[in-house]
Amino acid sequence: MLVSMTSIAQNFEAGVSKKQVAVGERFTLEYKTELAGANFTPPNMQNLQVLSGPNMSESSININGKRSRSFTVSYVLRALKEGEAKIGPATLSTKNETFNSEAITIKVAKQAQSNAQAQGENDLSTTMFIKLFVDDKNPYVGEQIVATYKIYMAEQLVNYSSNNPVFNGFYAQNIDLSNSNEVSKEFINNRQFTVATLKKVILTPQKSGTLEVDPLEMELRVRLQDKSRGRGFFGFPSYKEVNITVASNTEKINVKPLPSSGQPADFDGAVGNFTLSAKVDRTDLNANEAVNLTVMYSGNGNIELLSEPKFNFPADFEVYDPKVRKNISNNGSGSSGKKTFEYVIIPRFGGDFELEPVKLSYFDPSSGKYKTLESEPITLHVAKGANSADAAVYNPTSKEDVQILGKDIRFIKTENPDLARSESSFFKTQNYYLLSALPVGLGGAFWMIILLLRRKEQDQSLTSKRAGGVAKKHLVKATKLINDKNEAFYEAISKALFGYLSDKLSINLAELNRENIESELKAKNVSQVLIAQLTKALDECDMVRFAPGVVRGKEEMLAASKEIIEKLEDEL
Amino acid sequence: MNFKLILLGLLISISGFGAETESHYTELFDQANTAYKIGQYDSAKAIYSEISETGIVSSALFYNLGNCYFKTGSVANAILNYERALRLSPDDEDVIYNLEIANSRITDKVDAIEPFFITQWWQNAALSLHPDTWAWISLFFILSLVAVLSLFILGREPSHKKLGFLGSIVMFIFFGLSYAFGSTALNWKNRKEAIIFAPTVNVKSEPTNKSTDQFVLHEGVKVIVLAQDADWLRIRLNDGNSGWVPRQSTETI
Repeated sequence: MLVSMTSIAQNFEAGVSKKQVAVGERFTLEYKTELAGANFTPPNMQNLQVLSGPNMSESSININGKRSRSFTVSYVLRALKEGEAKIGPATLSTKNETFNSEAITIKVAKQAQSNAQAQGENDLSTTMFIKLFVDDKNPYVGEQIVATYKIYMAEQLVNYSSNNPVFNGFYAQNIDLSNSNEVSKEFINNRQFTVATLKKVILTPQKSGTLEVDPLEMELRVRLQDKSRGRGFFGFPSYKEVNITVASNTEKINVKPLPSSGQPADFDGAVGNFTLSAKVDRTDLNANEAVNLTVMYSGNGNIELLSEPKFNFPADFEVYDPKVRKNISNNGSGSSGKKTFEYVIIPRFGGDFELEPVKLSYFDPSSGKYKTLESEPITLHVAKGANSADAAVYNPTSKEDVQILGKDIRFIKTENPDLARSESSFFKTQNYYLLSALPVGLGGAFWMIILLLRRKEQDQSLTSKRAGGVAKKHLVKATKLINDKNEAFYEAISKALFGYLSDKLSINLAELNRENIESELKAKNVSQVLIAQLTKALDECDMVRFAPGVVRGKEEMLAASKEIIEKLEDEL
Repeated sequence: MNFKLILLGLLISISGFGAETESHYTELFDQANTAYKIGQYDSAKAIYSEISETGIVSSALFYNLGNCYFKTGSVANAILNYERALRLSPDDEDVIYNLEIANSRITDKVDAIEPFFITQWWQNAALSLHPDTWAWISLFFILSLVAVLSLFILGREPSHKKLGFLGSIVMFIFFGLSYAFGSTALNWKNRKEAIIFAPTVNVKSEPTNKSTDQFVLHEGVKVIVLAQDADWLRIRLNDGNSGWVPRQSTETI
């Protein structure tokens, strides 16, 4: 039900050319629909005479390539009586739905109305006006919007002049209307208007914020029926012409900035919906031959403003500035078309080269997201040029080069080729290190042996020196007493000998006597002569108390004792 | 016992090159030379290649092979073989001359950085002898070092000890020098270099296809190989620029 209600306004409209008529005055009643093949039931009419009709007509209009058809049923009517004339609802029925038009009431005055003119002039603002339509009031920066100025005319237009609005903050592109001069009829408050499109502009906001679309102003010369003067001489109505100035409304556009999140680094202001392709005319070629690379942007949006693709060609490529071609059409849905860049590239050397894919980052306002297109990578197989000196183009020969190029290489070697298996080197191998360690090791061992031998030798001389020392130590008391009385000196000699023997034979001094001294020394292989000398010295020490004459002198005794101890030291 | 075996092995490895096979290769070599003389560079090239593929190395062989490639218009291959010849005989004037001419035919002119004069002098001194010769010299100095050190360690007279001490220091320095010269010569001999064989190759900043192009090299340029990563080589030019190139676009010397 609700659907059919809203459908009334769109699909089935009714309107009269005049809402106030005089008795006998003619006017037209029209029903308009876009539904094909529907059944029309005429309305009930009171106090009205049908002079002509129902007249059926069909018209079709192409708007943006979309064909739309409309059907009109029209009547020419005449009011019969003063007062109110009523036109009941007409019915349009299709298989599924039924539409009813609104009922229309018409005031019928008695002949010509005296105040009709004043009322008509007052109402000129409601019968002649310009409207501005904007298809999107919340675009993004760079998103194209279309502004349309339409004039609504319920009176006859004689002449007009208009200004051209300035669009501050927008990049404006006029849409050529010469091919599609749309004149249509619309009903507003059951009044029929002729509607013509004055101007269509594609606007691309250049900055964010609130921008205004300026009004279009027009000077109109309108022909009005001069009702005050009544009918003319032959019964025709008389007219007068009036100049009025009308201006359209102003629209405020709230331009949204492009989102900063997710903005690709290479984004360059492209807004719309695009496709991208990159092609070469051939992939197999020789060095120094040219190849054409065509990059094509297509789609709708601010395609005109798209900049040249950023290309990193391989270093040895010679690249010429691209030829730019545009094929862009502006229409009611914005700009669309193609922009192509044609490069001529010449590889100077052979090899397989991969051209980097072209990238285009743009903002898609319908999804509110950034998108990045990437073309298919292109691989070029460049064969080495026919002449091997292909570098000559790239690297002009200098004077020095020419000099050397004039000479030739020297002749081959024919003698003593010295053919040999690749030698394994000796330096720093294990063998080398072993050989170098060999003299050090041998030398070290040699020094060791020599030094050990010398130490043994030294040891021997050292022991005899030490033995003398031991004797001295024992005889030190006797040496001190050499100038004293005889008894004390010899006593000291005796004690020294006994003390030494006690140490050497490991026998307690108290247990030491002549017998065990002699037997111990014999057991230790001390020579008989030495034992005899020892015994004699000990005897003399004993005898000195009662027979001093037979005893050797003090010095002699000391020396003898010393010798005995040294010899014993050696032999033990 | 062990040392005797090593010495024996060394002697064999130094002196023993199968004399009976050499005559066969010399014959082939002469055949190729004849072919070259009458201008049949392709067949000469085939025979030289056959010899070199058996693992035989010879400065003259590589030099002649390089000449064949040069005559048949393959400059990159010529440079590769001249460089191989130069490795075996760094002082050969003919090789240096022909290499210079081949290098004048390639696209890229790489200006080598003039090395510091001490470096240059050191290099010249080190390359004047084969690394193995330096090895034997260093062994001789070790022997001398042990001898004079004996004088110091075993000498009884102070003057002998003094002489031995000073002599040891001198011998040690001589040993160090000969070892260092040998190392330089060995590094030079084993240095990794390559010739670019692709007609043109982009030198990348990283071993991936997506990285930035740094500069472009063309067929025939010699580069120093610094490192390897999968199928990529890190290379350096003689002028100091470095980057990565795909391995298949090069040929190692």
